[in-house]
Amino acid sequence: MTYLAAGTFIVWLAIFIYTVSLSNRLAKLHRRMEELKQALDEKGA
Amino acid sequence: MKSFVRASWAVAEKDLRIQFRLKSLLLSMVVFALLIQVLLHFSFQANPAALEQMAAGLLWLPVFLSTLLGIGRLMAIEEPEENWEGLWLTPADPGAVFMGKMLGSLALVALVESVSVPLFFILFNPPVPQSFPLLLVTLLLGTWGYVSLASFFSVMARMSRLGDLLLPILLFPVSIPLLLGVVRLTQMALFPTMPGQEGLWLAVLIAYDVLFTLLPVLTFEYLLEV
Amino acid sequence: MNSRLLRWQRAVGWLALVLVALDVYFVFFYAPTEKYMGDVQRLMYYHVATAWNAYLAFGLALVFSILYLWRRDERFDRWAVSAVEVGVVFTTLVLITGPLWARPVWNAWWKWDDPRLTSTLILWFIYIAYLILRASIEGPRGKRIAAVFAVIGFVDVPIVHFSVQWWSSFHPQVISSQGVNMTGEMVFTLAYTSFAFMALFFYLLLLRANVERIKAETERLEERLSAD
Repeated sequence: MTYLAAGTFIVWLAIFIYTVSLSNRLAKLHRRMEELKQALDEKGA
Repeated sequence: MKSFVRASWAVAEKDLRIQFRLKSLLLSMVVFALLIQVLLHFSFQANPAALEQMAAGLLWLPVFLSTLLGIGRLMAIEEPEENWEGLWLTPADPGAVFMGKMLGSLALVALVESVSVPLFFILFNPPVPQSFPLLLVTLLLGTWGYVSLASFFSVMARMSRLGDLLLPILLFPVSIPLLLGVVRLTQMALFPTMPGQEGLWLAVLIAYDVLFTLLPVLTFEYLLEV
Repeated sequence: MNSRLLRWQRAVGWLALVLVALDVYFVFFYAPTEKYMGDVQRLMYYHVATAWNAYLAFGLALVFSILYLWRRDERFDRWAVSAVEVGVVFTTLVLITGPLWARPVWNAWWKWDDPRLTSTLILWFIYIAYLILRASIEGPRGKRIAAVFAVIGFVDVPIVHFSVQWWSSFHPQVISSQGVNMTGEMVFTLAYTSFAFMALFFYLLLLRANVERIKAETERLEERLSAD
């Protein structure tokens, strides 16, 4: 693999992994938030 | 202005009185600096030929590392009985409190240097300094800037879960310009290399010292804030 | 992507994707091969684009940190930490592409004499220190202290840049756009790549800031739940 190919690959891979991990984290936190909201509603009721 | 100076002096005096009564911290810092000198000698197998490149490091690393270790103890004095909160409640300018801590630490580090610098000359036998005044000025400017940031970051670090361990992580990257300046100037002071650059590096050190004394003074209130 | 972003925020994401995809054409086909370095020089577009955007990131972090210290609005802190984190990711890429470009050109992965790479390394350390600092002190105090550090760190950046440059002035070896004979096409490619990565930067910033916002919200809800 040439240096150019390695560098390009690393840049794309890193950005891809970072984006996906942020998205997943956001989704997970969002689900948790919804759970908590529901739990609070039930408690209030 | 006068109350600022008075408040700083009050804090500094208190710290110095404590340290001179105990003597143990000062002694430990001096011993540690000397041990580093020995360690460096063996680690780098310093020989007379390499001395021109090694000298600045051999001179400054003991100071930097012993300050790194000792400064936490100096800041820790304020932690029992909620002294920091007490200082926050006094009418004194928080910047003055910082200056007091900083000047007290500076005095102690200067004392450490008064031992480690002569010992550097004894142990490593560099030639007589080209310019003794330049060496003195470099020591003063370099120590001032380093101690100022070390005091400030030490307070930050001690507020964190990591404690003193965080200090080098905060301090070292930010103090690289200072390190570059003192190394270059020390080389110039000790050996006949290229003159005409001293002005530049002295200006860098002075600007650095002014900036990184002013900023901590202005922002220390954010650290003291309860 | 399973995200909870607003529609315009998702649009930024798609825009970034399109711009970056298009960038491949410019970097690998439109831009000519450099006369002396050959094809590896194409790494420069990614190297410089991520570097500039990292500087943008840290500049934004400065602004948000000052605003936070002034107004104490938690939103500013969220933007600050997000900007720093994305900035650190970009800076890491600068530090990876730099040596990969340098190795075939100089026959060495790293040259301490190169002022740009050295200052970038120090920059990287400063902002990693910020992230560690902020993560290791709880609550508003942690945000406040991290903000102060962000200000001090940013003020240090130009000082580091110049002092490292003056230090290295004995051996000027620069791995950057200055060492390259730039044609018009190259200049355009560099500008376009920087712009594409800027769109990408803003998308990542939005994503990260939203993570921080939802995180704060869940912590608040958890507190309320356990308080009953």
